[in-house]
Amino acid sequence: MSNYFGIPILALAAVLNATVMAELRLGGGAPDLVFLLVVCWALLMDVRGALVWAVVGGVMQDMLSVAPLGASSLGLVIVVFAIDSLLAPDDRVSLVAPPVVAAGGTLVYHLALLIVLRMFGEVAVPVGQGLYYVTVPSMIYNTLLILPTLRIMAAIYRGSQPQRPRLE
Amino acid sequence: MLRGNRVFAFAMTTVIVMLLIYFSSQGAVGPLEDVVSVPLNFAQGVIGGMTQSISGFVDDVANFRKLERRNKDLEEALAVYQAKLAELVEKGQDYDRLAALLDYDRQGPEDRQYVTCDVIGRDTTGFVRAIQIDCGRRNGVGLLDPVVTELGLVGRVVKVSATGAEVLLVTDPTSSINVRLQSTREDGRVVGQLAGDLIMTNIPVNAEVIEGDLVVTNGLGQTLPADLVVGQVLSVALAESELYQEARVRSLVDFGRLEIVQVIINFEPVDLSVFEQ
Repeated sequence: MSNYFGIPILALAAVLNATVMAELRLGGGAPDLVFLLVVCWALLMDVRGALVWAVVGGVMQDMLSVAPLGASSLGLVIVVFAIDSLLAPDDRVSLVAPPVVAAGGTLVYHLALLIVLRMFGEVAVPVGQGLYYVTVPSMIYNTLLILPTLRIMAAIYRGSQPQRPRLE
Repeated sequence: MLRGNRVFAFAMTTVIVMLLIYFSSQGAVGPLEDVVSVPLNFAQGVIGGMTQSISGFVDDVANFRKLERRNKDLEEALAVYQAKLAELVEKGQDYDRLAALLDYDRQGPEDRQYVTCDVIGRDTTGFVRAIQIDCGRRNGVGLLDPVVTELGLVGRVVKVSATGAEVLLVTDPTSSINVRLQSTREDGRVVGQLAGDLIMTNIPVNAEVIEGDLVVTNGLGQTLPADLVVGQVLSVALAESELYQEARVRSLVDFGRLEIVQVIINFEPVDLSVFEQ
């Protein structure tokens, strides 16, 4: 499947993050659709495709944010590489690995974002407060939503594959 | 893909992303952002409008009883304020006459030019308390323009494209505003908290702080016009260092339910840098 097919999906996810998901905020945290899509793609596909999704998704996210372009991409790229390096392909679609990846990935993603915001965005968010008010609620949401998202993405992926003719 | 190739792909992507962050923070990719933001702002406006309608309806249904009680309270308060308003109108007319006599050249609310904008989204990072609006340079909006509602100050424009702008809310932890207490005229500074609260800090230890007193901008530093309402004092306590007092301030604006805001487009801060040389 072409990686470019992800561009409109990621753009829509970023817009939904800024509109619908913002209504579900618990503290400062909300479900992060772009993060979930990129993580699912990394769990289902090869690292190269997931890296493209991480960069594009991050840029779309930053277009609707105060953060400089690429701030979100960096965290997502690190998460994708960690998934690729630490998880064997067979473990990636088990029932346990995706929620663990979502929880750990949210933490890594937010830490990277906080560092970039501090260094380049001139936004010195207090790290402790940021993790407490934003990361923990986001972690809970993302952990709960990763399995349904993974199922939907797997179905889309299977649907996009050409059907092989059966031999009678 | 082979392990070496994967590490190479990751390293190259990281380098590209770091360069993008650097150039973006220097403002070098502004034109590209302007182009891409047009369809995104459009989609955000459509989806944001629908979301706010649905969310507002759900909230109204859920809070019907509360709204009924609040309506009664507000009606009672309105009666009190109408009497006060009549008195203030009289005083306002006196003020106008005296100001005219003194040729007092100061920008008042009636001189301000506003642009009314819809809120189309909220910052996606979660770490930054900011909203996106559907007005941009084409509507006369510029960087650092103050943003208000009828209930008081909302924030300032920190990013602007042709068709949209990002507004940093006063509740953002990096927001700091020079203010004064309306009745006792004590100056201080209101800073935002990630939890969404406002704290007025740097109030002198011996200053009188009255609960319920209005907190308004004082115009010091010329970053915002004077006399914009920021909030109301909820409680006051001595700061940890015991060198000054801190007051918890509640904004009258419900930042979670902002739908329409106004940008003051003719406020021009005085350039104070010349005095620093």
